[in-house]
Amino acid sequence: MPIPDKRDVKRFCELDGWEETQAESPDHYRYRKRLDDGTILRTKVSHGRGPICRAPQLWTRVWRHQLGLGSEDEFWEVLRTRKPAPRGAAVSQPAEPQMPAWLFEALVYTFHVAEDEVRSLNEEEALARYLRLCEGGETSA
Amino acid sequence: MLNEVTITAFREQSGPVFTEVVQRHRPQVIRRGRDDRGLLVGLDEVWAMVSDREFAPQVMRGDEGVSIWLPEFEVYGEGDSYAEAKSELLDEVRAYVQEYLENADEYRRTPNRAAHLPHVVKALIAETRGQLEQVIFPGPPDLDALRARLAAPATA
Repeated sequence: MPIPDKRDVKRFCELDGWEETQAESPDHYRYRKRLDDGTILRTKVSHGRGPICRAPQLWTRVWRHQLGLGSEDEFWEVLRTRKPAPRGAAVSQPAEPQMPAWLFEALVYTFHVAEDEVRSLNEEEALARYLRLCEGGETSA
Repeated sequence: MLNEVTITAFREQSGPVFTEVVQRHRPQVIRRGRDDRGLLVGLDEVWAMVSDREFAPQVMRGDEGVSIWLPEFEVYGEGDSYAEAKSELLDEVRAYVQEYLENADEYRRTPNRAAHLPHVVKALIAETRGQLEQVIFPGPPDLDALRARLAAPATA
Protein backbone atom coordinates (compact mmCIF):
# COMPACT_ATOMS: atom_id res chain seq x y z
CA MET A 1 0.00 0.00 0.00
CA PRO A 2 1.24 3.53 -0.65
CA ILE A 3 2.38 5.91 2.06
CA PRO A 4 -0.64 8.12 2.73
CA ASP A 5 -0.73 11.81 2.03
CA LYS A 6 -0.54 14.32 4.88
CA ARG A 7 -4.16 15.22 4.18
CA ASP A 8 -5.11 11.56 4.71
CA VAL A 9 -3.48 11.51 8.14
CA LYS A 10 -5.12 14.80 9.14
CA ARG A 11 -8.46 13.39 8.01
CA PHE A 12 -7.76 10.18 9.94
CA CYS A 13 -7.11 12.19 13.11
CA GLU A 14 -10.38 14.06 12.71
CA LEU A 15 -12.42 10.89 12.09
CA ASP A 16 -10.68 8.96 14.86
CA GLY A 17 -11.34 11.67 17.45
CA TRP A 18 -7.87 13.10 18.01
CA GLU A 19 -7.37 16.54 19.55
CA GLU A 20 -5.12 19.04 17.82
CA THR A 21 -2.76 20.32 20.47
CA GLN A 22 -1.63 23.88 20.81
CA ALA A 23 2.00 22.90 21.27
CA GLU A 24 4.36 25.46 19.83
CA SER A 25 5.42 23.94 16.52
CA PRO A 26 6.00 26.17 13.51
CA ASP A 27 6.33 23.33 10.99
CA HIS A 28 3.80 20.76 12.14
CA TYR A 29 0.23 20.15 13.20
CA ARG A 30 0.31 18.05 16.34
CA TYR A 31 -2.38 15.65 17.51
CA ARG A 32 -3.06 13.65 20.66
CA LYS A 33 -5.53 10.95 21.58
CA ARG A 34 -6.24 9.19 24.87
CA LEU A 35 -7.43 5.58 24.66
CA ASP A 36 -9.73 3.87 27.17
CA ASP A 37 -6.83 2.14 28.93
CA GLY A 38 -5.10 5.49 29.53
CA THR A 39 -2.64 5.15 26.65
CA ILE A 40 -1.80 8.53 25.15
CA LEU A 41 -1.05 8.54 21.43
CA ARG A 42 0.62 11.46 19.72
CA THR A 43 1.55 12.22 16.16
CA LYS A 44 2.49 15.09 13.89
CA VAL A 45 1.68 16.15 10.36
CA SER A 46 4.07 18.57 8.72
CA HIS A 47 2.67 21.53 6.84
CA GLY A 48 2.37 21.39 3.08
CA ARG A 49 1.51 18.58 0.73
CA GLY A 50 2.93 15.17 -0.06
CA PRO A 51 3.39 11.84 1.70
CA ILE A 52 3.25 11.81 5.49
CA CYS A 53 6.80 10.49 5.58
CA ARG A 54 9.59 9.46 3.19
CA ALA A 55 10.40 5.85 4.12
CA PRO A 56 7.88 2.98 3.98
CA GLN A 57 9.41 1.51 7.15
CA LEU A 58 8.80 4.79 8.95
CA TRP A 59 5.16 4.79 7.89
CA THR A 60 4.90 1.35 9.53
CA ARG A 61 6.26 2.86 12.77
CA VAL A 62 3.81 5.74 12.53
CA TRP A 63 0.65 3.65 12.15
CA ARG A 64 1.79 1.07 14.67
CA HIS A 65 3.31 3.21 17.42
CA GLN A 66 2.00 6.73 16.94
CA LEU A 67 -1.52 5.97 15.66
CA GLY A 68 -1.83 2.83 17.81
CA LEU A 69 -3.25 0.63 15.04
CA GLY A 70 -3.00 -3.14 14.73
CA SER A 71 -2.62 -3.07 10.96
CA GLU A 72 -2.25 -0.64 8.09
CA ASP A 73 -5.67 -1.70 6.82
CA GLU A 74 -7.24 -0.13 9.90
CA PHE A 75 -5.93 3.26 8.79
CA TRP A 76 -7.53 3.08 5.35
CA GLU A 77 -10.70 1.57 6.85
CA VAL A 78 -11.18 4.68 9.00
CA LEU A 79 -10.96 6.89 5.90
CA ARG A 80 -13.31 4.61 3.96
CA THR A 81 -16.00 4.13 6.63
CA ARG A 82 -15.57 7.49 8.38
CA LYS A 83 -15.70 5.67 11.70
CA PRO A 84 -13.04 5.56 14.47
CA ALA A 85 -10.51 2.74 14.43
CA PRO A 86 -11.50 -0.41 16.32
CA ARG A 87 -7.99 -0.66 17.83
CA GLY A 88 -7.68 -4.44 17.78
CA ALA A 89 -4.80 -6.48 19.09
CA ALA A 90 -1.34 -5.47 17.95
CA VAL A 91 0.20 -7.63 15.23
CA SER A 92 3.73 -8.97 15.32
CA GLN A 93 6.43 -6.71 13.99
CA PRO A 94 8.24 -7.93 10.87
CA ALA A 95 11.92 -7.24 10.32
CA GLU A 96 12.45 -4.06 8.31
CA PRO A 97 15.47 -2.48 6.66
CA GLN A 98 17.08 0.02 8.96
CA MET A 99 20.41 0.62 10.63
CA PRO A 100 21.63 2.22 13.86
CA ALA A 101 22.36 5.91 13.50
CA TRP A 102 25.89 5.51 14.85
CA LEU A 103 26.67 3.16 11.95
CA PHE A 104 25.30 5.60 9.39
CA GLU A 105 27.33 8.43 10.94
CA ALA A 106 30.53 6.41 11.11
CA LEU A 107 30.38 5.42 7.45
CA VAL A 108 29.43 8.87 6.19
CA TYR A 109 31.38 11.18 8.48
CA THR A 110 34.32 9.08 9.64
CA PHE A 111 34.98 7.05 6.51
CA HIS A 112 33.41 9.43 3.97
CA VAL A 113 31.27 6.84 2.20
CA ALA A 114 28.67 8.64 0.08
CA GLU A 115 25.37 9.14 1.92
CA ASP A 116 23.38 7.67 -0.99
CA GLU A 117 25.59 4.60 -0.99
CA VAL A 118 25.12 4.06 2.74
CA ARG A 119 21.36 4.38 2.36
CA SER A 120 21.42 1.56 -0.18
CA LEU A 121 22.99 -0.89 2.32
CA ASN A 122 21.12 -3.07 4.76
CA GLU A 123 22.37 -3.21 8.34
CA GLU A 124 24.46 -6.34 7.88
CA GLU A 125 26.15 -4.97 4.76
CA ALA A 126 26.79 -1.66 6.48
CA LEU A 127 28.23 -3.35 9.54
CA ALA A 128 30.54 -5.53 7.44
CA ARG A 129 31.71 -2.46 5.52
CA TYR A 130 32.32 -0.58 8.76
CA LEU A 131 34.43 -3.41 10.18
CA ARG A 132 36.46 -3.68 6.96
CA LEU A 133 37.14 0.05 7.11
CA CYS A 134 38.06 -0.08 10.79
CA GLU A 135 40.42 -2.98 10.25
CA GLY A 136 42.10 -1.36 7.25
CA GLY A 137 40.93 -4.03 4.83
CA GLU A 138 39.35 -1.28 2.77
CA THR A 139 40.47 2.30 2.45
CA SER A 140 38.04 5.13 3.01
CA ALA A 141 36.87 7.39 0.20
CA MET B 1 14.25 11.03 58.97
CA LEU B 2 17.77 11.16 57.54
CA ASN B 3 18.70 14.37 55.75
CA GLU B 4 15.23 15.85 55.97
CA VAL B 5 14.37 19.52 56.38
CA THR B 6 10.99 21.18 56.55
CA ILE B 7 9.94 23.49 53.77
CA THR B 8 10.13 26.37 56.24
CA ALA B 9 13.72 25.53 57.15
CA PHE B 10 14.56 25.08 53.48
CA ARG B 11 13.12 28.50 52.67
CA GLU B 12 15.32 30.05 55.33
CA GLN B 13 18.43 28.00 54.51
CA SER B 14 18.05 27.35 50.78
CA GLY B 15 21.58 28.52 49.93
CA PRO B 16 23.43 26.22 52.36
CA VAL B 17 21.08 23.31 51.60
CA PHE B 18 21.65 23.77 47.85
CA THR B 19 25.40 23.82 48.43
CA GLU B 20 25.14 20.66 50.49
CA VAL B 21 23.22 18.93 47.71
CA VAL B 22 25.10 20.12 44.66
CA GLN B 23 28.66 20.64 45.87
CA ARG B 24 28.82 18.00 48.60
CA HIS B 25 26.62 15.57 46.65
CA ARG B 26 24.23 14.83 49.51
CA PRO B 27 20.59 14.48 48.45
CA GLN B 28 18.17 16.25 50.77
CA VAL B 29 14.56 15.36 51.58
CA ILE B 30 12.29 18.37 51.91
CA ARG B 31 9.02 17.92 53.78
CA ARG B 32 5.91 20.06 53.70
CA GLY B 33 3.23 19.25 56.25
CA ARG B 34 2.95 15.61 57.18
CA ASP B 35 3.04 13.74 53.86
CA ASP B 36 4.39 15.91 51.04
CA ARG B 37 8.02 15.08 50.43
CA GLY B 38 10.40 16.00 47.68
CA LEU B 39 14.02 15.08 47.10
CA LEU B 40 16.60 17.67 46.09
CA VAL B 41 19.40 15.92 44.20
CA GLY B 42 22.35 17.26 42.23
CA LEU B 43 22.49 16.76 38.47
CA ASP B 44 25.60 14.60 38.81
CA GLU B 45 23.75 12.13 41.00
CA VAL B 46 20.69 11.98 38.75
CA TRP B 47 22.94 11.57 35.72
CA ALA B 48 24.54 8.56 37.41
CA MET B 49 21.10 7.12 38.14
CA VAL B 50 20.08 7.23 34.48
CA SER B 51 23.47 6.27 33.05
CA ASP B 52 22.21 2.87 31.92
CA ARG B 53 19.40 4.40 29.86
CA GLU B 54 20.51 4.57 26.26
CA PHE B 55 19.04 5.81 23.03
CA ALA B 56 19.21 3.79 19.82
CA PRO B 57 18.04 5.89 16.85
CA GLN B 58 17.43 3.94 13.65
CA VAL B 59 18.10 5.28 10.16
CA MET B 60 15.60 4.14 7.55
CA ARG B 61 16.05 3.93 3.85
CA GLY B 62 13.72 5.82 1.58
CA ASP B 63 13.80 6.77 -2.08
CA GLU B 64 13.95 10.44 -1.14
CA GLY B 65 15.84 11.75 1.84
CA VAL B 66 16.55 10.24 5.21
CA SER B 67 14.28 9.21 8.06
CA ILE B 68 15.41 8.56 11.65
CA TRP B 69 13.15 6.87 14.18
CA LEU B 70 13.82 7.09 17.93
CA PRO B 71 12.14 4.07 19.53
CA GLU B 72 12.62 5.27 23.12
CA PHE B 73 10.20 8.19 22.56
CA GLU B 74 8.45 6.96 19.39
CA VAL B 75 9.29 10.15 17.50
CA TYR B 76 11.06 10.77 14.21
CA GLY B 77 12.88 13.32 12.13
CA GLU B 78 13.25 13.54 8.36
CA GLY B 79 15.18 15.58 5.88
CA ASP B 80 16.78 15.72 2.45
CA SER B 81 20.06 14.77 4.13
CA TYR B 82 21.07 12.87 7.25
CA ALA B 83 22.05 16.12 8.96
CA GLU B 84 18.59 17.61 8.36
CA ALA B 85 16.84 14.50 9.64
CA LYS B 86 19.05 14.47 12.71
CA SER B 87 18.38 18.13 13.45
CA GLU B 88 14.62 17.60 13.16
CA LEU B 89 14.79 14.57 15.42
CA LEU B 90 16.65 16.53 18.10
CA ASP B 91 13.95 19.21 17.93
CA GLU B 92 11.32 16.47 18.31
CA VAL B 93 13.12 15.19 21.40
CA ARG B 94 13.18 18.69 22.90
CA ALA B 95 9.45 19.09 22.16
CA TYR B 96 8.64 15.71 23.69
CA VAL B 97 10.67 16.36 26.86
CA GLN B 98 8.90 19.69 27.29
CA GLU B 99 5.49 18.10 26.68
CA TYR B 100 6.27 15.26 29.09
CA LEU B 101 7.31 17.62 31.88
CA GLU B 102 4.31 19.88 31.33
CA ASN B 103 2.03 16.83 31.62
CA ALA B 104 4.17 14.88 34.09
CA ASP B 105 1.39 14.02 36.52
CA GLU B 106 -0.62 12.50 33.66
CA TYR B 107 2.22 10.89 31.69
CA ARG B 108 3.79 9.18 34.72
CA ARG B 109 0.58 7.15 35.08
CA THR B 110 0.08 6.47 31.36
CA PRO B 111 0.72 2.86 30.23
CA ASN B 112 2.79 3.76 27.18
CA ARG B 113 4.54 6.83 28.66
CA ALA B 114 5.38 6.01 32.30
CA ALA B 115 8.54 4.11 31.40
CA HIS B 116 9.84 7.07 29.39
CA LEU B 117 10.59 9.12 32.52
CA PRO B 118 14.24 8.04 33.01
CA HIS B 119 14.96 8.75 29.34
CA VAL B 120 13.16 12.09 29.62
CA VAL B 121 15.31 13.00 32.62
CA LYS B 122 18.44 11.92 30.78
CA ALA B 123 17.55 14.02 27.74
CA LEU B 124 16.70 16.98 30.00
CA ILE B 125 20.07 16.86 31.76
CA ALA B 126 21.90 16.32 28.47
CA GLU B 127 20.22 19.40 26.99
CA THR B 128 21.11 21.39 30.12
CA ARG B 129 24.74 20.37 29.63
CA GLY B 130 24.73 20.98 25.88
CA GLN B 131 25.18 17.26 25.21
CA LEU B 132 21.82 16.27 23.76
CA GLU B 133 23.22 15.32 20.36
CA GLN B 134 25.92 13.09 21.86
CA VAL B 135 23.43 11.38 24.14
CA ILE B 136 20.78 10.71 21.50
CA PHE B 137 23.37 9.76 18.89
CA PRO B 138 26.04 7.82 20.78
CA GLY B 139 29.17 6.67 19.00
CA PRO B 140 30.02 3.18 17.77
CA PRO B 141 30.08 0.27 20.20
CA ASP B 142 33.13 -1.88 20.84
CA LEU B 143 34.57 -3.49 17.68
CA ASP B 144 34.78 -6.97 19.21
CA ALA B 145 31.08 -6.85 20.04
CA LEU B 146 30.33 -5.90 16.44
CA ARG B 147 32.47 -8.72 15.06
CA ALA B 148 30.66 -11.17 17.31
CA ARG B 149 27.34 -9.81 16.13
CA LEU B 150 28.26 -10.26 12.47
CA ALA B 151 29.60 -13.74 13.10
CA ALA B 152 26.58 -14.88 15.08
CA PRO B 153 24.20 -15.77 12.18
CA ALA B 154 26.91 -17.84 10.43
CA THR B 155 27.62 -19.95 13.51
CA ALA B 156 23.98 -20.34 14.53
